[in-house]
Order: sequence, then C-alpha cells, then structure tokens
Amino acid sequence: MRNNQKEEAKCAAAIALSLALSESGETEAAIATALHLYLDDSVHDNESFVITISNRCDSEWGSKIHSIRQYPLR
Amino acid sequence: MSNQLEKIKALTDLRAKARIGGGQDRIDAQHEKGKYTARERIAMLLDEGSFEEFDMFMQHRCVNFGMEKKQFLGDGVVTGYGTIDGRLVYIFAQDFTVNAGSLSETMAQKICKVMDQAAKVGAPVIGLNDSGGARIQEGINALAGYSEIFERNILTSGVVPQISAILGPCAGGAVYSPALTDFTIMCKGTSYMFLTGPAVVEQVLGEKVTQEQLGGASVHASKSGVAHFACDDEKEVIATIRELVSYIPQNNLEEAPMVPTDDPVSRVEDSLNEIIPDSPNAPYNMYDVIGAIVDDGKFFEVHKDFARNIIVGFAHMGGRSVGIVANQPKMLAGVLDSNASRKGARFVRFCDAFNIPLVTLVDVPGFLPGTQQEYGGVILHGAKLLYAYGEATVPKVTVTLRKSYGGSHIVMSCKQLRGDINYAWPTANIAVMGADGAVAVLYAKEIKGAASPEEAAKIKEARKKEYDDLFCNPYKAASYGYIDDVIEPRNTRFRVIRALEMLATKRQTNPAKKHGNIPL
Repeated sequence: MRNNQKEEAKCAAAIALSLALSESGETEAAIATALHLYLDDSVHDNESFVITISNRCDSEWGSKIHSIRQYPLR
Repeated sequence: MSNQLEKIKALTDLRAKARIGGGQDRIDAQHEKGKYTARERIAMLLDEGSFEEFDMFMQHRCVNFGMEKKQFLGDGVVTGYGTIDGRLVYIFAQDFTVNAGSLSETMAQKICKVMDQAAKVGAPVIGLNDSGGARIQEGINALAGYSEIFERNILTSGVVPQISAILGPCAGGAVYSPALTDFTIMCKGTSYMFLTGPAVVEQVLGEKVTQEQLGGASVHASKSGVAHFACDDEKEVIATIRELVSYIPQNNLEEAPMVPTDDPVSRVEDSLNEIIPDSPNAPYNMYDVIGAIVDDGKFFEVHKDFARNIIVGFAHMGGRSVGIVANQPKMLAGVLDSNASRKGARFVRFCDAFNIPLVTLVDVPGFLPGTQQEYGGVILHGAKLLYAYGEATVPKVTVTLRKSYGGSHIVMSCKQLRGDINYAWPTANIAVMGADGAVAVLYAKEIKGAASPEEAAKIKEARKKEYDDLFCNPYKAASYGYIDDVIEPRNTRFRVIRALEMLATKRQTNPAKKHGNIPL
C-alpha cells in the first residue's frame, strides 16, 4: 500500500470512529471534511520543490561582458 | 636620536596634526550638533583596520584673500580606500571642521583621484558629503573642481556603484554630485539639500521656509524622491550604506555576492493562497507577499516613503540578490502615476546596469487619471518605466497576482518587453480594462436603450459576467503564450527561484548605438 493510500485509510478510520462516537455529528463532520481536504492532493498544484540545475557561475556563456552596450562600428 | 628616527617622528607628528582636522574646538562643535567628524564616519563605515588614506598631506595653493596663511593638511576631505565586509570600496568624506568642508581645487583633485582609482579597479565609490559649498576664495577654480567631479560621476555611472550620504549641508551646485550617483542617503535633522537656500527663496518669492522644510531628509525622501533613504541618525546612515553594499556587485561585470541561507527553496507559504480578497476592489498588503517569498522574509526597501503605490527594493532569493518591483494595492489601489513610474524606472535601470535580476509582482489597475497627472507629463514618466523594462537585459521574472490592465500591463514587464518568465496566479485578470469600464464601452447602446434602470443594471451584470468569464482570468493570456504558466500562489517562492537559476547564464544584447533617447 502506498503512503498516500495508508494516509487515506487512516483518515477514513478516524472519520468513522468519530462519527460512531458522536451524538450530533456536526463537529465531527467539520473535522472530517477538513482532514479530507488536507489529505486530498488535488487541492494543491504539486511541485517537485527540487532544483536540479547545477551551478554555472563560471560559465563563459553568461559572462557579463556580452551584455555591455555595443557601439556602432564605423 | 638618529636622523632617520627624527624624520619618522616628524612623519607621525604630521599625521597626528592632519587627523585633528580643523582642531579640537571645531570637532567639539561638530559633536554638539549631533554630527560625527569625517574620520569618525569612515571608522564606523569601514571594516576595522582596513582604511588606507591618500593625500593626507595635500594642501591648497590659493593665495587670494590671505588664504596662504590658512592651511590645513588634507584640505578638508579625507580620501582613500577600505573594505566593507571584506569588499573593496573607495571613499571620500568631507571634513566640516576645515573651512566648513568647503570645496577647493585641491579637495576636488583628491576626490577625483579616488574616483579614478575606483573606475580602474572596478570598486564602488562612497561619498560622505558635509560641506558648506564652494570655497569662495578659490573663485572659478572651485567651480572647475565641481565640474571635474560631476564629469567623473557621469562617466562612472553604470560602471561602478556610486553612493552618496548627505551628512550636513549640501547646497547650490554641490547637490549635483549626489544627484548623479546611484543612491542618496540623508540624515534627519542635520542634513539638507537644495539649489537655492531659504534666504534667497524669501528674497525672490517672498516665501518663508526653513532649511528643513525646503530640503530636509524627510522632504526629499517623501516629496521629491531625491533621497532614497532618510535615516534618524548618522549611525543608521552608516548601517544603511553597509547593508546596501551587501546587495550590489563591485562593478558592472560582476554579480552581487551570494548570501547562503537556511531558508529552504521548497518553503511553501499557505498564506498566499488566501491573500487575494474576494472583492476585486479590496486591498491587501503587497509587503506580505514579498516577505513570504524572499529569503528569511528580509526585504531592503529603497525609496520607502516616496510614491508608495509602488514598492522597490532588494532581497535575496535562493541566496541570489534580486531587485523587487511591486505594485502596492493598499496605496491608490496600486495605480501607476508619474512619481511611481520614475521611481520604478530608476530602480530597474540600476539593477540592469549592475546585473541584478528583476522580480516583478503585478497588481496594477492602470494609470492615475486626471489633469494633475496629465499636465505633469505622466505620459513621459510612464514611458520611462516602459523603456527601462524593455531595455533591461538582466533576467526578468514577472508574477501577475491580480489586476493587470491596459497600458500598465505592458509597462510592468510584460512578455513582449522581453520578459523571460511571466507567471500568473489563478486570480490574475489580464485585460485591456476591467469589466465595469469594458461593459460601459462595449454595451453602451444596449444599456442606454434599457426600459428601466433596473433592466439596465441587469444587462450590466450579465455582460460583466460574460466579460469576466472571457477575459478576467489568466488563461486567455496563457492561451496566447503571453503567460508562461499559471502557478499556485503558495509555490511562488520555489517557482521564482527556479526561474532565476535557469536564467543565471542569460545573455542578451541590444542593438549597437551610441546611447538611447529615454524620455526625460
């Protein structure tokens, strides 16, 4: 079982237990909804959050001399 | 004592004499005014033990009005070089204890020498100004001295950073040197700048005004924009200079130093997902957005009290120094006006001159309307910011947060101004104008022909919804490629840093020319 599926299973179990123990069920429903939204990956636009570009500080390509204003050639 | 030892003693005695400037009485008078001496300021500013002085023994050659009898070693300015956090800087500090810091031919020569050295080695120049103006006894030689300094300010502009601190009077022609430098820092209560003083103002115009009201730090920091920083005291001035230097490179062929940070690139800021109000007319604080995305929430603002409808300043993102330009919805709804355009343009051009990437956060409903703006040349001033962005070849990353309408959309680093990466939040509205204005134009006949005001209101609402669905979102612009991606707000920090990493080796040139003709 993947980690996400394990989390969802735990969440479902928590919701079921909470509803079984409550009298009115409203508070528990709110908590369950919040947990569902938090664990539901579709609410967020996921990113890798990893920058894999290696440092190119010494690259001649980006040398600032190339950006200096060019004067017209006679 | 041997001959040699005697001569060494004479040297140390001369140094001691030079170091007291105009004498202890004048030093005490300076302190009583809440001001430090030139040497004290240099000692506070530079790394301990790093300062090497030039021309300590230089003296003036004026013989007019008995001046040959009034000689002071160094002639009223302390010049040389040192380091700030290990980085080489050149410095001159006018000494008010010597002839009120008045500028002579000799003083100008000393200042020009450090400026020439700075240009040769590629290091910033810092000027600590505290001067009563031209030394009248020197006549035209004083004016020639100013001219030599100004010419070097001009030639060095964009080559090495130039910073001016005004720590006393700066009047008449002397004001042009700070005006030509990149940043001007003033001290409240003890410094002032104006072309013509209160006495002449009263004589010519009958207007009574104090030095502080005419050209004090607060006035120039908030009304004219001449000063980029207004500090409470000289220690804060010194701290501001040191901090400013940490964000900028040594010269136009280098980058600002990277500053390592523990703030992770992957930090998501959930608050950004809820920062845009539901009502399009409700403001929010752009400082909250900036603080959420930069390293350690640290933002060094420039021109804080001037044209507060636009925010400019330096920060680090992923350790890299960046220039932030952002509209401020809490002030005038973030519109652009003459002052905001000038403020933004000057900052963008500084960043471009010194290889500092630009991160632009957009929420701009348009330009401020009205005769005051039009008569004041808002067209020209707006064109300055447009020109600045279009000409800039540094990496340009733009994020549209909410509104981006009309000409102001173009001006704020749009794709067609060679924006490298243009992101938008899902709340972005990129359109020619807002729904209200558009519907009033497009459906004027239909609304006018409505049977009743209630029906007219219904038509307006329906048409506004149509317009909103079609244009008031980022996807229309994204469908044309004008937006590179729509991003979740909480991921903005990561996306911008990654974009900056990608653009680290950006290379772009402009057509060969002597120089452009930016609207002035």
